[in-house]
Parts: sequence; C-alpha cells; structure tokens
Amino acid sequence: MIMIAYYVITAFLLVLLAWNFVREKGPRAEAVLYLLVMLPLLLRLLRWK
Amino acid sequence: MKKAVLAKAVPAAALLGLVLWGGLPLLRHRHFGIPVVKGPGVTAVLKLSEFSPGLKGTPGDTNVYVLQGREPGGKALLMGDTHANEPEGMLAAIIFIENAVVEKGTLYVIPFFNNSASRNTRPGDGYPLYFDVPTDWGRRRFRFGNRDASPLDQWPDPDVYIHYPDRQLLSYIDVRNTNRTWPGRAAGPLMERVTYGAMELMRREKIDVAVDIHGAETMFPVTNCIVAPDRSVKIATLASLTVKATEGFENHVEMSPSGFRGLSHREIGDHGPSLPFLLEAPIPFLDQPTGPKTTRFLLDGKDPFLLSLSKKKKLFVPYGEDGWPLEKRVGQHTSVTLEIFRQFSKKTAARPIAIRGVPRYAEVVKSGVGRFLADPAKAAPGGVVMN
Repeated sequence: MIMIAYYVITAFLLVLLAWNFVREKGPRAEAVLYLLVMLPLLLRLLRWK
Repeated sequence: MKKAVLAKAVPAAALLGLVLWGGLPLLRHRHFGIPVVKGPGVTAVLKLSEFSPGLKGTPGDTNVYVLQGREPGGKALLMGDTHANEPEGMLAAIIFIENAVVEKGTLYVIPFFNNSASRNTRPGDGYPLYFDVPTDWGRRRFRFGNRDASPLDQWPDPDVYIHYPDRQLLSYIDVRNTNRTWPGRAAGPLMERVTYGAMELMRREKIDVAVDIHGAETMFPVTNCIVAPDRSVKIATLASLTVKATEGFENHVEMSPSGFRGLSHREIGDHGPSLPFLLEAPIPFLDQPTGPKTTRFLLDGKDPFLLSLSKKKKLFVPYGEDGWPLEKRVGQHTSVTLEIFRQFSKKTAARPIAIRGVPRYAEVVKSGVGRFLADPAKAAPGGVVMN
C-alpha cells in the first residue's frame, strides 16, 4: 500500500516537472535541469531501475 | 516559436535516449533467466511461496530444489545468493543441484535465496550485470546481483529498520537484506516474507542442518570462516579441523553473536529446529580499495592494490599473486558443506545425511567450477528449470 502511494507521488512529481519543463521560459540550462531531475523518477515509474 | 519548441524538444529527446541507453540493459538484466539443470538427485522443485503464501506472484518467490535420498535420514537446507553479489554460494548450490546424489536423508537447495537481489545491481560501484563461467562445452552466463533486494520490489525503505521480533534498530537498508530479516513474518515486508518462508520450510520439514553460503571481503575480519551459534559450534569446529587436516585449507570458526539480531546463523537456531551454519569465503571483488570491478576480477580475485595491502598485513586472509580465485571459494564451500553433513551424521546416527557426486575442494580447484556445471542444451526434456 505504501509502495503504491510512493509510485503515485512519483508520477505526480513527474507530471509537475514535465509541466514546469514545458512552461520554462528561462535559459536552456534551467530546462535541462528539470529533465535531469525527471530521469530517476522516470526510471522508477517504468520499473527499470 | 519554432526555435523555442526545438530548444525543448532536443534536450527532451536526449533525455529519452539516455533513459533507453541506461535503462534497457537494466531491464534486460532484471528479466534474464538462469537455467538450472535438474541433476540425477533432484526429485521435486517447489516454490518458497508454498511455505510463505505472501510471496506468491512476487519477485521474492524462488525455487526450492528437493533431492530426496534413497534411504530415509536427516534433512538439510542449503542456501545461496542470500547476498546476490557473493556468487560463490549460488554456484556451490547449483553444483549440488546438478551433481548430487543423496543416498540417505533429504537435501533442500535454494540457489537464489534473495531472487530480487539477484535482479538488482550497484551501478555506482561499477558492478557488471553478468558474469560467465567457462565450462567444457562453452560459457555459462549468470546474473550478478546486489547485496540487497531491488527497491523496485520493496519500496520505500524506512528511516531505521526495526527488526522483528526483537525490535533492535538496524540500518534502513537492512530491510532489504535477507541476512538481517530472519526469522521474518508472514505479512511483513517482502524480504521478511522470504526468510519466513525458509523458517516455515525448516519447521514443517524438520530440517536438521541449515547452511547459508556467503562471501566476504578480505579486509573484513569475519571472512574465510564458519559462523555458528552455541548449538552448532561443535560440528562447525570438527568440520573446520577436518578440512584443514585432510584438505589443507583454513576455514576457522566464528561464534554467532547473540546480541546482533536478524542474521541466519542466529535466528534460524533461535526460532526453529535446525542447526545453522553460515559459510564465508574471501571474495576480493567486494573489497573497497581495489582496481575496476571487472568480471575477470570477480572470477580470478587478483588485484594489485590488495596485494600491496597484504604485504602491509592489512588483510585478514593470506593473499598472494594468485589472488583468491572462484575455484578456491566454491571448492571451500562444497567441501565444508559436505564435511558439516558428515560430522552431523556421525553425531546423530539416527538421522544420517549421505551425499555422493559433489566435488570437493581439490577437484574444484584442479578442474574449475565450470567442469561441474551441466549444459542446459543437452538436458532431457523438462530437465531445465529457469530461475
């Protein structure tokens, strides 16, 4: 049950980051930082790592 | 506008490429099956979930090979891959499955005790995902795992692991370590359900002897030894002395500390009928001050930094130019295990465990581990079990 909750939290964070990435108007480096933070969350959500 | 979209799309595509490049090998490793050939002594293959229903359908479930003897006698359980980055235990267990003929008693073998850990890795330490053992017929590939179960299977970790039932505070990571979660509970975290399954197997089948096979760093004092609690120490000592006298290798005895909970050599004896033994062989690959963690190093155990440390007397085992190869590690384990069975049978004549067909130390060192691994391609129909 806790594990499922953590996956839901991960998915929620991933959506937030993706949304911020799309909306980011600043320098490209800022947008890339969003992508880097998304990397482990994406791997976990895919259940690859 | 178009330029702005492109500025986002290019790094997003790069991220996707990175995920695929880094993630797919991990995915393939997680689902890589290892064939084990049912040897002449295998009479049944069970699932651990038959003893711990909470494991059914989970990555914690694992195969239990049963080798029932021609005559009744005592019962023994052999476990490898409790720590899946110590492959000598798993290989020794597979050698028993593929070669042993049980004359008296019954042998239960769980080669991938922490199945989830065997599908995990430690990329930060540069662990290889696989290793190949050369055999007479080619190379046999095995997954190289991690010490702890995959967080994909048991997540999240607590801040502190509170051991059941003693409530001792252990490191958070030990909640995924099947040598800290003994004796386990039926509805606990996944790794507690794994150890609970083994405890139930021992209780229901009235197992006399339980051997948990490991490897340990050369810089760790509890290495190259048999760890045993009070009730097993006499047999452990006799086994240690016998292999030293007759086979010429050292394997001293360490007492199992009563105040350190969750370990197999402590909890198995405290919560069930079996006499526990934990075997350690030195595995230089696990030491920290070494060169790259290559598969070659995993197999030959040779490292110039450890050699230098050995000359400064910083290691707990003798270490020379020959390193500490896989053959020595696996050979020690097969010999010590057989010797424990022999000493138990001498002490408990009414419940003998007699096994033939398993190579001892000298044979494994001389011929290599691969000599005693069967070719799955040549097995009889239905004679291969995937793990």
